[in-house]
Amino acid sequence: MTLLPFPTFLDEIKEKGFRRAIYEGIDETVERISAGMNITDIREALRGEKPTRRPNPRLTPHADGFFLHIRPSYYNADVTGIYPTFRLGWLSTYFVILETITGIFLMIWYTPSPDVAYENMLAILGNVPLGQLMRDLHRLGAELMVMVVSLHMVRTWITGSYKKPRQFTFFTGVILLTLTGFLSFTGYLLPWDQLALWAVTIGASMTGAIPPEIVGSAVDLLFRGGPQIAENGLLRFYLLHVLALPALLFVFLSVHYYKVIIHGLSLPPQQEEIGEDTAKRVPLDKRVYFIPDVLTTEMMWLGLTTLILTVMSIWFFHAPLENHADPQVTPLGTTAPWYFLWIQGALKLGNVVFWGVIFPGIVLGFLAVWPYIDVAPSRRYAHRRLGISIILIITALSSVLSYMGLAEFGVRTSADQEILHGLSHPPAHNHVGIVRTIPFEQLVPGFYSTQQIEAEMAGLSAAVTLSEKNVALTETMIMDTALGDIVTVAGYITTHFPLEAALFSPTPADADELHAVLERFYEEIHHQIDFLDDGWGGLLITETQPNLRRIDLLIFWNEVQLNEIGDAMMVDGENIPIFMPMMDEEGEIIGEMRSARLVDEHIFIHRNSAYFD
Amino acid sequence: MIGRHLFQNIDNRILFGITTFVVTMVLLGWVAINERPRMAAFERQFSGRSIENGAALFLTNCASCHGLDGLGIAGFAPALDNPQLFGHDFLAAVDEEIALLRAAEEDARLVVTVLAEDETIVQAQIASWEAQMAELESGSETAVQLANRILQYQQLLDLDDEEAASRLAEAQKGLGAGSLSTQIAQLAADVAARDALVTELASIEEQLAQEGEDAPDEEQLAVLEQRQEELNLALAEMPDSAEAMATLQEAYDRGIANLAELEANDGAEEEIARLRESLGLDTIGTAIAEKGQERDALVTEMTTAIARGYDPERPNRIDNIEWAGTFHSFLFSTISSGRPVSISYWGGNQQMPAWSNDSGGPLRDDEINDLANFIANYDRDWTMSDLLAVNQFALEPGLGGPSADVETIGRDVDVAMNAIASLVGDPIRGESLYLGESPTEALVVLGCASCHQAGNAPETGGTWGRIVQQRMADPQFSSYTAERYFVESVLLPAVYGAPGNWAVIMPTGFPDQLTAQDLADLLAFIQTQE
Repeated sequence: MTLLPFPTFLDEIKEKGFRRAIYEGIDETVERISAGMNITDIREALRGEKPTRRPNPRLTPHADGFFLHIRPSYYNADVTGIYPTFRLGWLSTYFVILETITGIFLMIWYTPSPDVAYENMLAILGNVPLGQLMRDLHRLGAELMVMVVSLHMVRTWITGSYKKPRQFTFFTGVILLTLTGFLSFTGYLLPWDQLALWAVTIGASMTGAIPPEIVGSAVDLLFRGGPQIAENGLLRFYLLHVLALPALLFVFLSVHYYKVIIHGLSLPPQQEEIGEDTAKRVPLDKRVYFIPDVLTTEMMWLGLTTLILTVMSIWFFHAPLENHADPQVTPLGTTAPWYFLWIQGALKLGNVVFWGVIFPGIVLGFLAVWPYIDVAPSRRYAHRRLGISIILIITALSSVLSYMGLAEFGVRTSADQEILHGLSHPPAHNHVGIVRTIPFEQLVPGFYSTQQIEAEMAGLSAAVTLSEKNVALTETMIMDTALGDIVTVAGYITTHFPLEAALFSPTPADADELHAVLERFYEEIHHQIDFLDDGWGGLLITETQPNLRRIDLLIFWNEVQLNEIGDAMMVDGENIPIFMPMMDEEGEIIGEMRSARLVDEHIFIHRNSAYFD
Repeated sequence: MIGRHLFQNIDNRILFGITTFVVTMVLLGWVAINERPRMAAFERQFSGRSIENGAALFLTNCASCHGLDGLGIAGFAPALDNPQLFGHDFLAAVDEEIALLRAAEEDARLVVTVLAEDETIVQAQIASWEAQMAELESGSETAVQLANRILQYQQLLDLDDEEAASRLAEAQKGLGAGSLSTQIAQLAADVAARDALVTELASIEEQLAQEGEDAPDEEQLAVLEQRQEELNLALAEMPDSAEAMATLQEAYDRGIANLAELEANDGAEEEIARLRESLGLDTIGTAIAEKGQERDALVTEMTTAIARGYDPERPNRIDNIEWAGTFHSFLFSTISSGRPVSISYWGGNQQMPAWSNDSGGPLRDDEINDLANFIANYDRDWTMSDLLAVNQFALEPGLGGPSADVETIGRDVDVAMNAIASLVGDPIRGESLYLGESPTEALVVLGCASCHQAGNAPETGGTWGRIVQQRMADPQFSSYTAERYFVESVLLPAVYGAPGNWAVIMPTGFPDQLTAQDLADLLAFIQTQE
């Protein structure tokens, strides 16, 4: 007789006793969730014991469960170690998942509109618990993912794993590599800071070079959503980043992984007969079962990789955030994201259409179809001199092109501008101008000169030298390009700055970092002395507000003749000076003088801005 | 390979994996705990950078009018490095002292008056206040205060005897007599209670000391000893109030003597003088006079600033223009939208343009925010030299210059109509008043054109024609002449609003800014606008 008019769990308790009924109930539930393994099976597996039940319950999750149905139930022992995969494919997948999770977190706090996007970034960094960590993880993951996916491709190429029957797997892999690049690139714009706007502007402008022109300009316009990247452009990049590209990525990732499993992980080349593919025929003694060995190994790597990324994000890597995007101000030395530098470098070689569009197209196309070209059966390294040479050449070439893509290469800015920018530029790419790193207490208002350093190096008294220079200062004539007039330096300074008298003073004794910056300033000018004849630098510090200082960096020099590519012209190892006529009051030319120049760059430093942290 | 050796064993793998997971979680917890200081540091750092950006923007956009150093340019644009902008009141400290002294004086007077019950003094005081009130504009703050005070004193005069007696008792209490007697009574009760305890204790000790047949048996002995112990304990806890009482009694006797002397003295005059002295009325008066001089000296020190548009009595820019938002919103919206109307009171100078992209200017909102942060960063502990360094203070509509000592037209339309009836209006001067090119006789620059020629109010052209043909046809103006309609519109703009949806409401300050001649000239100009 049952307790209730229908059979229930209570009947089982009555029949088997409470403990046994509960235990069996739990055991059954566990078996149902794990799709085939009960508590005893799981315990045995985690203890590294052999399965006691027959048929082997560790295979049923692969046969009956959803999550493991795509994972093979056993691997060849020769591919489960670091070599030959270096776990790069696994890492790529890991990053896809990491980026999805952290990306969704960031999406909660982000609105794709130029009006608020930057404010959102400030809020994420300044008001959202764990916001900075999530952003750092997302950015770090994105950069590492591009690297890992590229290395994954190089590894596959070197071990010849793209060969028959895995040509199509490789093909989808190249598509995934391209998608990864685009995903990272579209994410670049979203913070809406200067770095984002200009890196993306450079990148997007390449699409404009697609021939014929009508197609190029249409694609360019479609991407940017207007003549300049603004509301529409940001929204499009956002939708590409969070919707279109991830959707494509998941489709191709599924195909890619399915192909990997269908064909098995290719063995190290030397372990197979030439032309044979034994990946699917794993001898019994080589079998490493997914449960428990591969599973625990992967869980361990999951923990370790996450730990490493967390540590890096906390202490070593912070996603940059520059000033608010400003279409009016082009920062000096803007580059595309590093993984597109090779295209930017190629562009410096000449024709935009060829180097900007056709060349990258050819490279990617070549990578994609290479498995169909290289049909020789052998995967042995010794038999594949051409293939391995090609990937090495491609690697070397992209490194060289990436270097050429840097702002330093092939773009000449005048020596004075370069020095001033280098010393004072705002934080960008994790670098900051050295002047900004001087502690606020050392920014004592005054007029400091690199002539002090020169005197100290010559063993002279800085104070005496500077007081001599002070006399000279009032007499130094410069050509003020702004006024189109000849003025004395002292006069120039007192009219342009809130200073009573433009007089040099030595750096205060306890301002050693200010002194170090002055030394660096001196070295930079000295290094360019071919261009900056008799050049010296001034560091003018004035107080704008009690907690705000204005720093002016000035370079004075006598002009010399430059040739058309901007090199200083030399005669017998000497510069060719430029003279200009001197006129008396009636406009009569009474002689000539060296053409002197002055350039000035100013920045403001607030007590709290903490550039020196 | 290390990995091969270390992780061959499944136990090691599981252990290592769990360890990494736990460490990651601990790290996340550690980050979460440190979020508040980190966020605070970030905010501080970015507000610093915002100020830096603001400084750079100021240099390129604002410095040409407001000065490189933010001290303004005389006759052109007001200073931002300016105590007036931040509402620093240089007279606040001395004003507060004066107010405190006056309050003390007021209290002292009240005591004197009530104690003396001298109606004549109170009446004289009321009379002087009424005289003061007559000079004041009705409804002003001071007038209301005076009226209240007069009422209060009238009530004092109307007190019946009983109430007067209770007031006197209050006043006596204030002098200390009442509270002293209460305290003394309390202390006397304490002393009596103590005495009772001491007496009982003595009797117990006596009983215990007895011998022979009177000696207590064992049971009694126990009861007595227990009671003795209790009493000793109670006595130890009870303070000896006798000494305190003696002191108080002395004070009380003195107070009573004073009071007796006070009551015995019939000469009210003498008594008042004595009380004045005891309450320090004269000292207070001297102190007030001294503080007043100190205040005047401060104002004199500000002479240069006053000449540049500073008003020491109205030192707060935000209050002066009755801004209802925050200081930051004031800066932000001023930069963002500019001050289109300012052309009227900055004479022929350029007005403050709108800077926001939204209003057609060159700056984005975040840049305006940076600028506002930079300007707000001028705030500090302001000194007199900061005030004197300012080249130009802010002007306000209707307060274009120092007011001249002339009779303005006032709010009564009939009076105004009579006043201008005998005057001949000069349409040319009227036009120049209208356009803000010259000031009124009260030295105010008007801003009529800034609304009436900018689409914010009915257009200047055709005004007279509209009045004569349309308004006069309206039955509600059947008793009006066109001139009266115009005068009423200027002096009491709220009476009737011209049809149409106008963004700006006509200001109401003109009765105090125009003389009869100004009004006549304006009328003459409007009459040309047919």
